[in-house]
Amino acid sequence: MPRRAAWTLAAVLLAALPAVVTSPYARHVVITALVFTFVALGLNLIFGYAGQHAFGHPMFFGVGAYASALLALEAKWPVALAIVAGAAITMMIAAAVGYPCFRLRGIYFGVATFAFARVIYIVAQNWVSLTRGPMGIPAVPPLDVLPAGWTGGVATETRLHVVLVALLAVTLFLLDRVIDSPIGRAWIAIRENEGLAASVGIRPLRYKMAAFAGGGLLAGLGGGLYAHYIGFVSPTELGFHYIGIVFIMMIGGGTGTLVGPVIGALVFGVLPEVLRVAESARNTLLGGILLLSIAFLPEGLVGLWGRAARSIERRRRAAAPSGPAGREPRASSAEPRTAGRGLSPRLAGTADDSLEVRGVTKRFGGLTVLRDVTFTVRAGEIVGLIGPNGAGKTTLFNIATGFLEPTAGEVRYGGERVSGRAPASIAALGITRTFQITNLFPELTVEDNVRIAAHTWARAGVAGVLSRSRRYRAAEREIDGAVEQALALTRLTAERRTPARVLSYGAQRSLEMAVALATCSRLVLLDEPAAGLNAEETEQLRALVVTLRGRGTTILVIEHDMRLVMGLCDRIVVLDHGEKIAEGTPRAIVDDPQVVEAYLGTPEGAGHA
Amino acid sequence: MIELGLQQVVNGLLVGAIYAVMALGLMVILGILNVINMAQGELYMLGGYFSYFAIALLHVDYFTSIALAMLLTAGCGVVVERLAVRPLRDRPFFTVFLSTFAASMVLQDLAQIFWTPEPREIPSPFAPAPIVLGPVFLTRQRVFVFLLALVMVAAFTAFLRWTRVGMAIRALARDREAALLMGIDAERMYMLTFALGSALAAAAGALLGAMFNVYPTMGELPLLKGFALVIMGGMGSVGGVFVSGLILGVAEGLTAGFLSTRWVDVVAFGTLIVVLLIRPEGLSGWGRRGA
Repeated sequence: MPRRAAWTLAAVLLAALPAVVTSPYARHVVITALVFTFVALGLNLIFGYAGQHAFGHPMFFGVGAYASALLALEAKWPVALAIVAGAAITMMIAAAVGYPCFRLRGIYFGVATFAFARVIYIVAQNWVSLTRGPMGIPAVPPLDVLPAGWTGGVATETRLHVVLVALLAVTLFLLDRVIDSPIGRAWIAIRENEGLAASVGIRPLRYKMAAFAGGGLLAGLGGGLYAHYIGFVSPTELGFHYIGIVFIMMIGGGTGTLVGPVIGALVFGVLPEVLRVAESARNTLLGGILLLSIAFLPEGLVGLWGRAARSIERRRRAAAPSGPAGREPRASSAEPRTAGRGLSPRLAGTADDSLEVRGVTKRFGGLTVLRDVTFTVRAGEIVGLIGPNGAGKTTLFNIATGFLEPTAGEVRYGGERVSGRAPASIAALGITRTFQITNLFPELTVEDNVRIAAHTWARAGVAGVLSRSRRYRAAEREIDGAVEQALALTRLTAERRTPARVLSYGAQRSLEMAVALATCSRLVLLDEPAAGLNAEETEQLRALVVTLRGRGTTILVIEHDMRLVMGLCDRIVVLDHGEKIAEGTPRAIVDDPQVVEAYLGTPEGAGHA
Repeated sequence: MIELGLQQVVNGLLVGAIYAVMALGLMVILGILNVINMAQGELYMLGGYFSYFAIALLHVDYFTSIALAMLLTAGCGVVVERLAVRPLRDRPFFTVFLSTFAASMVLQDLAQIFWTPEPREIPSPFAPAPIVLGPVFLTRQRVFVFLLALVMVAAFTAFLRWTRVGMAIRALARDREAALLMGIDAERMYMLTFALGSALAAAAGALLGAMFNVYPTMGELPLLKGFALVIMGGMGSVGGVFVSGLILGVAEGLTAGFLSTRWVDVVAFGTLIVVLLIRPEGLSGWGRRGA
């Protein structure tokens, strides 16, 4: 595997650096930079992957430094143990800080984490009996994994360097596994489109917390290593300066990439030392570097590599136009995988698997959008929900999938109350939906869009993800199989590597169907799936819905294309001005005078219709 | 005990009013440009230094020095906008946040280099004899500072509500597209907004600088407290921010009086965290029609 070979080579070269770098000062700079790779990787989890603007997050570097130093000095723990325990404590503190902060969104969340950073700084300055205040903690014992006498004449700094590189290699190896797993996919899904992520069963708060606390663990680890290397901890380590530096490392290296923060930490950790003219101008230099890298390296150093690779690829393709384009897909589309249960509903159905809408009323202020709507969708049915624009159809979907709460009444599914639950929790019951306005993960490939949707039925434990256990690998194969089938059914296999945003409109709607399919839900709510499709695409959609039903899926569909609705549905529910005005077979609905009136107006008002 | 409490409440109100001025500067830039300006603390610091130098070098009086500081800092704010904000107009929110953070690092460091970290005292133009109101002592300076802060908030509100430029700025904040269609020159308004926000920061810096000295890192805490107020005030309400500022000032005063001056700065962030836990949407509910 060339990828693994390249990684190993990089690690060995990095570990062998002390052979070339001989000046003690230069070695010191490199070790410090290595320590910061962990902090930058931690920030990258929450900021780069989960996409949460946790501006204060690098403070956990200082928290880890304090925790580890205090454990080693006050509790007299062995240094290695103190570092590990310090990182674990930091993770717990991060969880405690993250929880209240996640009540806010976007930039306000970021500012709240900043406020916490400041509180922790002030506590470190003033809780003198614990932290010795601004004086700091001197004489923190150094880290040495080898017992005295076993050092073989290798300098302390060199040994530490090799240990750090080894630790970094292990960290990256494990991080790679986490990122390429349902956990990492859930983070990316939340970053790209939190609403859609929730509607395919990803609980945003849980995964954001995991990224925040996991990032805290890494930052705390870096802090512990730093404390025992420098031998001194002070409130400075909790200050803005370090927060700024860690951001420069992550952004300059490449946000949301695996190795970007490592490269960033090494380059931007060493660069200021090399360029430095005077100690006092340090921040000016760092600020300048940050400004320049924001302006000219929007994707970081890693992005530079990507740009170069793309231009080489283009040149090569221009030279040999007959060559195969792009990489080979993971599974050949000629023989679709049929392993496992494919796209059949994954959750065991109960006897009464029907969706019951009971007396649902929804008011927005003085406006009543739904008034006492009651109907039932029985297991295995295809039911159409029709009505003029503004009748409240989408509002009903939003209530049934947890995006809105009803003012009165309730929605039950399989005997369980659904309304009032969070979208992700409803998805876990086996209900999924599509959206009236195209709703995808635009920056991700077609395949990744579909893969994320398997989240509901293919969650994985951290232990399984890290160890790649037999069960985990079996589950991933199941996901592969389901993704293949969903792509094949929606005729998207050939475009699996295309980012969703560049697909044609029709293909985007197909992809939404593929996402809904891959959730393997028992009940699928389709919101105007045929809107904007041409005749051929509509026919494909019809066939797809029939196939879905054949697999045991129940379907409730909002649609304006009457020919489609009449041909497809077993029963139809008609809403008008928020009230149910009719319910019955397509035949009966067409002949219902009230329905005709709602669509065409009364004979007197016909001229306005 | 009650005297001390009363004294601290009054002191807190004074400081709180200035925090509110600082927060309004942040809020107007956030509201109109959708930029969290991390360099606002350094603009506050520049305001303090400009006021100091105007008095020390130009021998102007304190009032003129504040006006000069606001003017000069507004100019500096325009430079920050040109270099760190405008080139990144279409980039994500956090990118601009970081670039203003970088600007903040540079400005603070330059101040350390050129003006040394030594705190400097702005000479007070007021007689040291306090005004005695029953059990409460007030220096004339503090009274003046409080009144000036009130005037600034009032002037700011009036400017946004009743001038053409203020109306254009509010229109941009409400609906950028529609405002552009109405022929509002967005770039010019952004520049003016940044200048306005910077001038408010400078005023806060010159006023508080006269009470607590000026030094290069003086802007860090007011910046964060300003943010806390913007959030607590309900993100976009002048009234909410002002009341939150007064509450914060009083809470800090009482903490200093009864607990310890060392924990004063925890109050702002502690209160912020509590508010976020109880009412994430902020304290406003009043004055939401503001900027």
